Amino acid sequence: MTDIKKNTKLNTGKVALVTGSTSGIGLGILKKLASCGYIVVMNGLVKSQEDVTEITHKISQDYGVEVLFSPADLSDVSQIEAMVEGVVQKFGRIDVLVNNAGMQHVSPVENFPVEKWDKIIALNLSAIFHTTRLVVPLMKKQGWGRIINIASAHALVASPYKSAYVASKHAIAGFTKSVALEVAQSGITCNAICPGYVLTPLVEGQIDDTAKARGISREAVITDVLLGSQPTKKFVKVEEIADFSAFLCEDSSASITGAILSIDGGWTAH
Amino acid sequence: MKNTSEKYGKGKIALVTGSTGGVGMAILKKLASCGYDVVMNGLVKSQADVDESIAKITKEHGVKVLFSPADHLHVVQIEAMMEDILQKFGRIDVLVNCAGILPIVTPVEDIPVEMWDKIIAVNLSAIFHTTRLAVPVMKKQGWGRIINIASAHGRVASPYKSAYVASKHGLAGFTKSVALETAQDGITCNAICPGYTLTPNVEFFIDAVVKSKGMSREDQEAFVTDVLLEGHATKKFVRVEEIADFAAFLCMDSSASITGAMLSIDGGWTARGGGTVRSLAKGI
Repeated sequence: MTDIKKNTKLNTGKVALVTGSTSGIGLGILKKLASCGYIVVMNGLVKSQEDVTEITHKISQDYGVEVLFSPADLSDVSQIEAMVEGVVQKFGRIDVLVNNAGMQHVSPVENFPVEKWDKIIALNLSAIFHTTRLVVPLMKKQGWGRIINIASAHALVASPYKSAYVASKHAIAGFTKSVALEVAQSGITCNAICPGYVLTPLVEGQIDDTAKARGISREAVITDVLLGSQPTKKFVKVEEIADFSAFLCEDSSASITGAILSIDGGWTAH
Repeated sequence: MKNTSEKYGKGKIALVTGSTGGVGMAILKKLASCGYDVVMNGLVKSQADVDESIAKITKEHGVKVLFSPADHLHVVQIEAMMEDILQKFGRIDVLVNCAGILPIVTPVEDIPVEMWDKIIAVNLSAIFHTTRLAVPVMKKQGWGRIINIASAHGRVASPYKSAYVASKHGLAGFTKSVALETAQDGITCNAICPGYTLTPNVEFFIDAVVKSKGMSREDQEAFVTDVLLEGHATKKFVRVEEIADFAAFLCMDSSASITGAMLSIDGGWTARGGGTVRSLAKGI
C-alpha cells in the first residue's frame, strides 16, 4: 500500500489480528486498534472481493496503518493455520489476538441439529484454541502479548434454546483462565470480555428466530427477552466493547489476566 | 489512546475515600490528571502533610483539591464530609470507595468482637453510607460513577481473614444491588478486585517480617514470590497506577454499559483460586 500516512502512534509496528472483523463487534475493535496505531488483520465473511478492497482501503486511509485481509473459515483448522502463517510471513509478529468470530443458533435442545452443534463448537470454541496455540509461541518470543476473547454474558449465565452457544461461551471462560495461568510469566495476558446484548447483525438475526421459538412478537423479544435481562434497558454499543479491548492492550493492564470481564448493563449482576 | 491527555473530568467532582496513601492516592492523582476536582480523605500525620499533598496535586494538575479527615467508623463524620462536598461544589460525579482495613490475621475464634465490628464498619457499612448519600445527587445529575475497591478477597477467601473476606464479599453483593437500582439513571456501580498490590502498607509489612525473622536477601525474595505472591500467576505485584488506570477507564462515558461487574486485576489469582492457603498454613 502506497498511500499510508506517516504513523507516529504508540503501537506502530505492532500487529493485531481480529477474527470475525468484517462487521459488528469485530469491525469496531479492528477500527479502534487501527486508531491506536496497530497494523490490523481483518478476517471474516464478505460478499465480494470489491467489498474487501473498499473496506481495507478505507481503514488504511482513515488510520494510516496497513490492513491485511484473511478470508479464513475458522471452522476449518487448515485455514486457520494458513491465516496465522500468512500474517507471520508478512509481518513477522502478532502482538494482539482478538478472538471475536462466533455464531448462534436458537432451538430447543431436543431439536438442535447435530451439525449446528458441531459447527458452533468448532467456530465459537475450537477455533480459539487453534488461533491461541499458534500465536502463543510468537508472543512468548516477543515477551509481550494480549489475547482477548470476546465471550458473552452467556459465558456466565444461560438462556433457554441456546444450549450450544451457552456451552461454547462457558467453555471460552474456562479456556481463557487456563491460558492466562500458562502465560502469566511471559508478558502475555489472556482475558474474556463478556458483553450483554449488542445490536449487531448476529443479534438482529436472532430476533425472528427467538420470536418463533417462544411464540411472541419481535417487539416483545426486544423489550422482554433481550433488554429484559439488561437493567440499563439499553443495548451495549460496539464502540464500548472496542474501547474495553483497547484498554486491555495497554501496558498498564499487565496485571489484568484470566479475568472474565462483564460489559452487560448489569445483566449478570442479577 | 491514553486517558491521561483527555480532560474528560473537567468541571466534575470525584471523591476518593482512603486517598492519603497507597491505592487511593494513586486513583486521586489519576482522576486529577483527567481534570476532576478531587476530594481527598483519609488518615494523615499532620496538617502540614495535607497542605503539602494538596499543593502538589493542585500545581501538577491545575484542579481544586478538598480534604476531609472523616473517620469512616463514624456515620456522622461521613455525613458531614458529604455535606461539605455538596456545599463547596454542589455536585458529586465520581465516588471511589477505597478506604479499607485489614488490622488482624487470626483464626475466627480469636477475633475480638470489637475488631470484627470495626472491620465491617469501615470496609462495608461506610460504603453503604457514602453510596446512599451520593446516589440522590448522581440521579439528579443523570450521571455518576461508583467504584468500589474490593479485593480478590471479594471473590475468594483465605484462612484467618474471615472478617476482611466477609466485608469484601459483602461489598461485591452490595455493588451488584446498587448497580441494578441505578441502571437507568446514567450511573454505573462496579467493584475493582485487586490482588496483592505494592502499597506502603505492604512494603512496611515485608520489612517487618524480614526484620523479625532476620531474613537474608534471598529469603526475602523467596518470601515475596513464594508466600505473598503465591496466588499471583504473574509472580508480580499489582501496581497502584494500574488500578488507577482501571478506575479512570470506568469513569469514561464509553464505559456506560459496564455496571454491576466484578473486575479482577489480580495477576491471575482468581482464575486459578487457591491463593494464599499454603502460605498462611505456614503461619505467616
